[in-house]
Amino acid sequence: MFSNSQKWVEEKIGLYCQKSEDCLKLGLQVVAGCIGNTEYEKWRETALEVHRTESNADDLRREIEYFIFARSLFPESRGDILGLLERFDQIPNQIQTTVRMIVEQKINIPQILADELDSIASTTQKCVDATIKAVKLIFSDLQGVLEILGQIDAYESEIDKIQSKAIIKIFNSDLSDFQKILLRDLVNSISDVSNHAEEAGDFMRIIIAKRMM
Amino acid sequence: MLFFLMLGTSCFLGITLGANDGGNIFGTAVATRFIRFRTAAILTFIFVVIGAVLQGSKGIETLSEITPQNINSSILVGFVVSIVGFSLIILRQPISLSQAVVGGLIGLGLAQHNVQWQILGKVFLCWLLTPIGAGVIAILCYKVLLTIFSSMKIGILTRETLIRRGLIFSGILGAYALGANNVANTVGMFTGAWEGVSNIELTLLGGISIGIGVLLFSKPIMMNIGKRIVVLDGFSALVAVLSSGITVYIFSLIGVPVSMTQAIVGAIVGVGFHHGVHTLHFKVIKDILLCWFIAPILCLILTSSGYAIFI
Repeated sequence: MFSNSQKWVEEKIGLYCQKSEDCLKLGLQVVAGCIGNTEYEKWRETALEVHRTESNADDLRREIEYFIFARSLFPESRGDILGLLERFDQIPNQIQTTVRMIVEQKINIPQILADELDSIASTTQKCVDATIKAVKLIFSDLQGVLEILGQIDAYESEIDKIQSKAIIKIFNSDLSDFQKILLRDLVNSISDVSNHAEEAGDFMRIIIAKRMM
Repeated sequence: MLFFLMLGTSCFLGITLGANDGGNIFGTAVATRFIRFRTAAILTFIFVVIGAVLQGSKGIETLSEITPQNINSSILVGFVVSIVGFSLIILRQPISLSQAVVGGLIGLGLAQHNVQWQILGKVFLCWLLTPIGAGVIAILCYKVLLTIFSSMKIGILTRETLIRRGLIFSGILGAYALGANNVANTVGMFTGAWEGVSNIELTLLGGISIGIGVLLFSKPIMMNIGKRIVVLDGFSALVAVLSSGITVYIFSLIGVPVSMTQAIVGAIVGVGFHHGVHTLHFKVIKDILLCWFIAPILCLILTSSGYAIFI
C-alpha cells in the first residue's frame, strides 16, 4: 500500500537506532570496566569501536537526510524527521565524548562511585532504550509514543537525582581537587546522555501535538 | 465572425475560470507541497472535462432561465465577465466568476427589462449558503477526520501518505464538481443563442477551456490561495479541499452554479475557526469579501451600459 521510499526511510531509521544502541552498550562497557581499574589501554580498542559505530550512525543519518531532501519526499514530515534525527544524534555523540574523556584523560574512577555510576549507566540504558522505542513508534503508532515519553522523563529525572548524589559524594571525599573536578565532569558527561534523550523526547511530543490538533 | 467571437469569448471565460478556480481546487495541496503542480493541473483538466460533460447541463439550464439572450448579448456578457475576472485575477484576488456571470446576466436583463427574479432568488440563496455551508462542512469534516486519524495505529509517514492520497481524491472530487457546476458560467449564456450546438458540445468546449486555464495559468493562484487566509498544514488542506468539493458537488446536484472560490474560502475559514479565530487573516478575508461584491456589481453595470450603447 505504501511507497518503497517510506519503507526505505523506516528501515534506515531502524538501522540508525540499532547503531546508536550498539554505541551506547559499548560506551557503558567502558564506563563499567574503568571503575576502580586504570588499565585504560585495555579499553582503547572498545573506545575505537564506539567511535566507529558513532561514525556509522552519522553516515546513516546523512544518508537518510540526503535521500529525503534529494527526492523531495514527505514535505510535511521531513523537517520533523530531520529535527528528530539531529536531536537523537546527540546521544551517540555524548557517549563517544564520555568514552574519549575516560580513555584519553585516563580518569581514575574510584570504587566509592561504583554504585552511583552503575545506577546512572543502567538507568541511562533504560532511558535510551525507551527513546529508541519511541523513535520507532513515531513511524508505526503515533498514539503509543506518548506513553513511552513519560518513561523517558521519569528515567531522566532519576538520573538527575543520582548525578546530584554522586557529585556530593565526590566533593565530600578525600580526593584531590583536580580529581574531583575531573570526576564531576565525567558524571555530568554520562548524565548528559539522558538529557539528550529527554530533548529528543520533547521534540517527539511536539511532532505528535502538531498532528493531534 | 460571430461564431469566432462566441468561441473566443467562451474560451477566454473558461480559461479565466480555470486559472482562478483551478487554484481553488488543488491550491492548498500544492501550496503545502503535498502534490506537484503538474499532477494537480493534469488531474484537474481531466476531471473538469468529465464533470462538465456528464453533469454540466443542469447549471446551463438555470443560467439560461435568468434572462433570454441572443448572440450579441451573450458575447457582451461573456466579454465583460472575462475582462472583469481577468483583471481581478491579475490583482491576485480569488474572485467568484459565478457571481460575475450572474451579475452580467442581471445587467443584461435589467437593460432588457426582463429578469426572472424567482430564479435569481434561488441563485442568491445558494450564494449565501455556499461559503457558510462549506464552513460548516469543514468543521464537521475536521472533527470526523481527526477522530478517524487519531484512532488509527499509524506513524507520521503513513499519515502523510494517507493525507496525500486524500488530497488527490478530494481534488478529483473538486475538479469534477467544478466541471459539473461551473461550466455553465463559461458557456451557459450561449445556450439557444448558438445555433446547431448542443448543450453537450457546449459543456465539452467549456470543460476543455477551463482545463486549459488550469494547465496554463493557475499556478500563481494555486501557490497563493493556500497561504493567504490561514497557514494550513496537510491535514487542514485535506479538510478544506474535501469540504469545498462536497459543497460544490451538492450545488451541482441542485443545478445552481456556485462559486468554487466561495466554497474554498468558506472551508478554509471553517478550518481556521477550528484552530482558533486568531489564526485567521481578517484583512485578506475582508478583501476577498469586497471582491465578491465588486465583481458582480461591476459586471452588472458594464453589461447594462454596454447593452444600452452597443446593442
